[in-house]
Amino acid sequence: MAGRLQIFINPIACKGHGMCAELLPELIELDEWGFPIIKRRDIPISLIDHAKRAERLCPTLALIVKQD
Amino acid sequence: MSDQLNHSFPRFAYKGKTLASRNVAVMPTSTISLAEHLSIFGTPEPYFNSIRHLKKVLDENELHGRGGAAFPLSQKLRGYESHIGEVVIIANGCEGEHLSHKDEVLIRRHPHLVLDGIAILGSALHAKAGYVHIKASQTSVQSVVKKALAERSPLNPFKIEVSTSAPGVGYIAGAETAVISAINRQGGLPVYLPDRPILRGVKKLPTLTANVETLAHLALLARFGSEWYSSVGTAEDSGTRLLTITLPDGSYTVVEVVAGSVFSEVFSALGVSPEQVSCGLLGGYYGQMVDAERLWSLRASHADLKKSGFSFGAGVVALAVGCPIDETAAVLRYLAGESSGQCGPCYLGLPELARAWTDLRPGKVNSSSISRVSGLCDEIAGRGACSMPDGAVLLARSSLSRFRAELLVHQSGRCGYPSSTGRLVPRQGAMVAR
Repeated sequence: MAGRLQIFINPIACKGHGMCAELLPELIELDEWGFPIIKRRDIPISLIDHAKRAERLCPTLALIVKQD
Repeated sequence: MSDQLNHSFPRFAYKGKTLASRNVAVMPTSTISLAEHLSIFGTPEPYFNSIRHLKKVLDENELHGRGGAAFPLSQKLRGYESHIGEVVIIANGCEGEHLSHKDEVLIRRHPHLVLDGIAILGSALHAKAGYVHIKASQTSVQSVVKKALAERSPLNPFKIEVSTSAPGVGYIAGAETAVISAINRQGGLPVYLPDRPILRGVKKLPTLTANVETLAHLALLARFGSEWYSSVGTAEDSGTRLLTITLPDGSYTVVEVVAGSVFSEVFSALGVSPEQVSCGLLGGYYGQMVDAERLWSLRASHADLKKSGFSFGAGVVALAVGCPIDETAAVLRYLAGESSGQCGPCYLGLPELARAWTDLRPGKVNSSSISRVSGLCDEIAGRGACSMPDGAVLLARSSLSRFRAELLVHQSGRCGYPSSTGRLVPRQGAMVAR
């Protein structure tokens, strides 16, 4: 299964803007303080473009899309 | 191999106060000079110049790290094999954990064993540099290492120096990424570095961090061989280990114990009976709360503890006398205050967990306050850059599941124990060496 794309969050960079959960609700939800919880790390093919868009739009560049 | 040490135990606590048990010895704190070191342990073998030799030694006898994660040294090594000649070695003696003193005591007693360990590991990897990392506040420990380094300067196969944590950084100062950040003068707080091994560490070089006790064991293993090394202990966990034990009177002692000794033997050697104790914190702030009866029955071996779902953490066993729920509350409050404030789930989650935990007190606790605590644990787990929030969660979960009976008593508005004495957390002047 090498090479699959996954999402990661740099918890230090993340300031809880919550943009990622708006753009990628299938994979990310927010905790009670507005910080992201990854529900599913593996990105299904159908969501790859959305995930990359969320990565680009994260205000603190805390969301990371990378190969496992 | 050099001459065998003519005894198998004690190893680090050699000439220390041996107790009424053959498996427990108290660590002395006077420093062993280079001359004494050479007379006790013999002249060192030339350090390995190849990683193969070192791997062979570890094949015969695996060493699990003593800093807290118990990660096998041979596996750690694997990540640096393709970086021979570039690696920086850090001997981590920065005990951020307030309850742990074994690294400090080991360095004070045996700076040369720790330095032997760095030299052995570093020579095998043709290391560029080595550091012995010590808390900024422990200036006398730093002096011991500096003096030892000067004494043995002809023996050092590469440049080894003392580095220190950033002033004011507390509990999390000993986290691997915080150590690297301190050496790089980048603030000394934990950094988000999810990839292992760390290939861009000190001065952007591959950086291998190992606990000072792990390195001291490596020095003995490499010098005397696996047959001697494993002549005490169990098949799965050979040799000895250092533990910091907080006693019911609030003092602490650092002991060397033979792996696999039953804790009842360790405590009875120290003159403590289970009746004096309400609960224990096994593994320190990354560990679990456990009732006295269970704790007394466990074996002090990595493998045995793992089978029972426990770990040594940084080798901390703290005995408490107050209500286990209240003792847990004190630790959770302390941990909430020690967050470095970098990760939301930690700096927001831990104070909320500590607050929710206070609702478990007598007369207040009910099923919804219990589920609030357990829900917060689920919410916080695994979401920090360092493992600090996970430590708090493990502690809270262990206390919640092991002290059900106490919670039931609390529901009736009563409590069968005195309240927490706060001995599991720092309090000025409370921790004194025995």
